[in-house]
Amino acid sequence: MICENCKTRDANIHITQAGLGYKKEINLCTECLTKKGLYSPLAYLSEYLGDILKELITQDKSRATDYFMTACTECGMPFDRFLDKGLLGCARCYDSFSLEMKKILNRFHGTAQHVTLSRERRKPVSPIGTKTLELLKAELKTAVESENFERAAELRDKIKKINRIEENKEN
Amino acid sequence: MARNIDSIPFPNWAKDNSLKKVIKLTREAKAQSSLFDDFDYYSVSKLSNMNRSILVERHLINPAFLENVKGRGILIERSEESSVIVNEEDHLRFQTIKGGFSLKATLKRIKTIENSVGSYLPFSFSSRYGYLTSCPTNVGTGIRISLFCHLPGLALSNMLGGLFNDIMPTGIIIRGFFGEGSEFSSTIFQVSNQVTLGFTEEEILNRLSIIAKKIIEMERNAQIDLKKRKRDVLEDKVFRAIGIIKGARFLTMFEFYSLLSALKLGSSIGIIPKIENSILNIMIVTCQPMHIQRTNNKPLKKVEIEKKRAHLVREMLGLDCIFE
Repeated sequence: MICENCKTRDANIHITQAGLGYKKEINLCTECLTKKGLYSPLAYLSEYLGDILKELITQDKSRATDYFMTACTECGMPFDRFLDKGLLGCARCYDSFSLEMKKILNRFHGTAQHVTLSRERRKPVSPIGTKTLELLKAELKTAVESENFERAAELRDKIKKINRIEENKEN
Repeated sequence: MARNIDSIPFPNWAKDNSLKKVIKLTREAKAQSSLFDDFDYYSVSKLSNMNRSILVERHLINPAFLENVKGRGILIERSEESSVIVNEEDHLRFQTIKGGFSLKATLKRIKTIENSVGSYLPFSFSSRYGYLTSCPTNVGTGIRISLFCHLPGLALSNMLGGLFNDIMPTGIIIRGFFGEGSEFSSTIFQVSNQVTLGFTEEEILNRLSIIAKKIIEMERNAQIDLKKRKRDVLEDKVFRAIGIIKGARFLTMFEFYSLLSALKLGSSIGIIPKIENSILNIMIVTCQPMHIQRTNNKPLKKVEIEKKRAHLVREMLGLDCIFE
C-alpha cells in the first residue's frame, strides 16, 4: 500500500477514524505522518474533521450548484474559497450562504438549529450583520470625501450586492 | 471551546489590523480579570522554533497553527492546564486539559474562563446557529470534548473494528492508530464529540461520558478475559517489551508508544509490578523529539534522538541496559 500523502513511500501507519455515518482509514508513511505532526496518538482532531467536511462539500459540489450568492455581503469572501478551504470569512457568511450552510450543517450535525441555554441570554452587544445599507452609504460618502478610493470601491460593490439581494427577494 | 469576537472577520480572512485588534482585545480581557493572573501571553512570531515545537508536543497548539505565525498568540496558564489560543481557526480557542475521567470539572473550568472573557468581549452569536465559528463543524456550542483511552485489551482481542462500527451512528468520533495485525501499534484512542450543534454542552458531555464509560467497561472485560484465556500471550507481549527496552540502542516514537502500551497493560493486569501511571504519562511527553532535543545544547540528528530516547526510557523506568 502506498502513502496517501507523498504517493511514493510505503504506507506503514494506518489510522482509522469513525464518526457519524463515516468510517475511513488513512494510510501514511512514517515520514509524512511526522511531517503532519501526527506521530503522537494525542495529536489534534481538527484535520480529520476538516476531511469529513471536505467530503461533504465535494459531494455538494458535484451536484448542480444552486447557491445564488457568490460572495458574502459583509466580508466579501467568495463562496468558492469556502468550497476550497472549508472555512468561512466572517459571522455574516452563515447568512450570506444560508441555503448551502443549512444543508451542510444538517448533514454534518444532523440539525441546523442551536439549542439555546439560559446563560446565553447574555447576548452579544450587537447582533451579526448590523451594517445596514444606510451605514454603508454613509461610509462610502466619507471614503469618497477623504479620497480613499480603494475602500470606496469595496463599499460600492457591497452596496450593489445588497441591492441585488433585495431585488431578488422582491422578485 | 471556539469563540469569535463580533464584527471582526474570522482569522483566515481577516487583514493584519483585524488580527491585531483581536490580540489587543484579548489582552484587555485578560487584564480585567484576576482569573488570568497566572496566565502569560506569548506572541507566536516572537517564540523560538524550539519553543514553538515544544508547544506542539505539549498539545497546546496544533502544528498547522505554526504554518503562518503572523498575528497569532497564546495565553498559557503557568500550570499549562488551561490556555487560550488567539487567531487560530477562530479568534479564540479556550482549552483545558485534565488527567483522569474528569470531564465535568474540565467543562466547568473552561466555562468559567469563557465567561470571564465573554463578560468583556461580545461574541458572534446567532439564535439559530449558536456561536458562529469559522468552520461549520464547530458551530453551535463551539465545544469539543475529548477523552484519551488506552485500549490494549480490545486491540489484542480484535474487538476494535466492532467498536468503531458501533460508535459510527452516535455522533461521537473515535480515532487512533489502528494496527490490527501489525507488530507495533499504539493503542491510545481519542474519543470526541463530532456534533456541536443541536445539543447543549451538558448533553454533549453526557453522551460522551456514557459512551466512554461503556468503552472502558468493554476494555476491562477484555483484559480480564485475556488474563484468563491467554495469559501466556500477554506475558509474551509484556516481557518481550521489557526485553526490547533493555536491549534497544535506538527507539523510534512508534516503537516507544507500542512498548509503553505493553508495559501499561502488564502493569494494570498484574503481570509485572505496578508502574505508576504518572511516570508513564510523563514519559509520553518527555520522550518526544523536541523535548529530547531541548535537553541538548547542539541540534541532534534523528538517529541521535532515537539513541537518547532509548537511554531515557531505560533510565526513567529504572531498567538496566543489556551488555553495556
